[in-house]
Amino acid sequence: MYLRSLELLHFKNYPEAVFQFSEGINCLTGPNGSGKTSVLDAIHYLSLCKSYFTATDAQNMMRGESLMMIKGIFEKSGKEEEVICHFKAGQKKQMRLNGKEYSRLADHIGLFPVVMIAPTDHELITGGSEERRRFIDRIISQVNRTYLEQLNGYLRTLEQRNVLLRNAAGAKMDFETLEVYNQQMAGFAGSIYAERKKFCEEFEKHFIRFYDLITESSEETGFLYESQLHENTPLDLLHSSFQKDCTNQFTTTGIHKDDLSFSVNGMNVKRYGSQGQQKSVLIALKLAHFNYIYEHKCMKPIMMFDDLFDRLDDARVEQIIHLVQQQNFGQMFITHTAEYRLDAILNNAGIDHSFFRIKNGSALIRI
Amino acid sequence: MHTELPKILEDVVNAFTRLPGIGRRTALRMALAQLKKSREETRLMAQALLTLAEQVKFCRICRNISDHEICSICSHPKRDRTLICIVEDIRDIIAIENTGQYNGLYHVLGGIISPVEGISPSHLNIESLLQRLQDNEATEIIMALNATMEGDTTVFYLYRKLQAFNIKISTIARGVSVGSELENADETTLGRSIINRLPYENVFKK
Repeated sequence: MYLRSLELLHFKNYPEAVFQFSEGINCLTGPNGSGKTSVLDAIHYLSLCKSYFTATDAQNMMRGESLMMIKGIFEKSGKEEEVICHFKAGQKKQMRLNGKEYSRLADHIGLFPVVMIAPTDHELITGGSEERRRFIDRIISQVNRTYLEQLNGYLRTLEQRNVLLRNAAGAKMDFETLEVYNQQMAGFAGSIYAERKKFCEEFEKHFIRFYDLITESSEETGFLYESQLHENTPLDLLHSSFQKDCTNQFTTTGIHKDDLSFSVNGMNVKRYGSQGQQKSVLIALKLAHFNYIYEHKCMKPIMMFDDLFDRLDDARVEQIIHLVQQQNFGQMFITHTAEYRLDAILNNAGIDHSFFRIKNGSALIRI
Repeated sequence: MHTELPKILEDVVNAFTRLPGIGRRTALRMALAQLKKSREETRLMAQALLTLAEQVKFCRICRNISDHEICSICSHPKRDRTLICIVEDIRDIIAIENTGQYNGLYHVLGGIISPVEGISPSHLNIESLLQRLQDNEATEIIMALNATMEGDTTVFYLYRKLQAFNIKISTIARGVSVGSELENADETTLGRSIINRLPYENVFKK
């Protein structure tokens, strides 16, 4: 699967633009603010119906305009597929596949997978545990729809239980109802934990392999799934934290406290890792993500590196490029400000690539 | 609509907007439509509302809204008194009655458990159900609540409460709707239908 062409109308700083991409590596270069990342974000729209960076669609519309459109032609198992994202101010966003409008956007997600690596992803390493749970939840639910249903069930029960605990403050606790929630939550938690554990065991292997390849095995990395459910059954856990939950007036234990931790040479990366190590962990995670989708859905997601050189030295960048080439990743997009640096590395590696010089506004030249 | 309405109209509009699904615009339309009707018609309508508020009765057995002490279903001689179907409110009874497939009795809970909306088990007609089972000939309880998380919570709560009684507890089946195509079914429903599949004999014998 790859994206053959992309058409933009009033998207961010593009009044109108057309791109023809190659099946291999596509490099987008240009000065700050010229619109490199916007191209990646447009591709993200075509895959996941939304921006990678902003929460509202209106923010991505060109200033002063009231309509935007992104159109992409994908080639998938020898067939041409046209995806259109259309948004008019004050109206609902529309997604179309080959002219037919989706009634549920969720039906589109997963048909044209992408994996994006952007400087803002740093949060995944340094941010709170919620970021990391969301990361694995998103990947698992792409492959397993029941998982998402279980997760939503768990979160709703959790909300009800928390309100129950809050209402009981100072009044009498309704033990019977609480126990019903305990049982329900334990049911959801059990299967979510089992899925996460299974996922992490498989994911860990890919992650470690990719980290070794990026660093040429100069560092030893570790990947750990942390969960209170390792030692306890979900129901025991809720029972044992009962007093604490009453005092705090919310549920203090469970799978909503799960986390991932990464280490390099035995040291926790979040706390002690250098910027470069953190970035390398991030890239290894994303490459493992790619591999997971590929193995489970037999489809190569489109890889997008936004500012690949961010926080990495030339040797590691070169290693990543090599890796991506050898491992036969599919279509790829790389953005960078300095064309000569990217060009040198790719030429050094003897890798075919297309260049797109992005100038403010829209002018672009293919080399 | 920020223009101030005459107070006499404003009061009616405010009263209508307290009804579910009615916004200010619709409320105003309803109020104006009412004005066009004869005075007698409006009087009858107001009287009906008053009677509802003052004389509404809940069936002593099943807690359904009723004209008499005991509702028409509970007092019907041909009804199967060994079956009790648990529902949220009268709308569910109407839906089930319309199927023509059920000849047992009902028990109306009057809501489902949801602390977020301030509804706890004590707000529901659960005590009366337990009382009813003490001296009733029921042998099976059918749970017919909404297929939502809150519905499941309530079913589970009742299931635990009813363990004390020697009674069969069943729940309505969930699955692909009749006459629909599989490809149009949502994944959750279809997934459950596969997990909870039925022996084929159950399907054609009915």
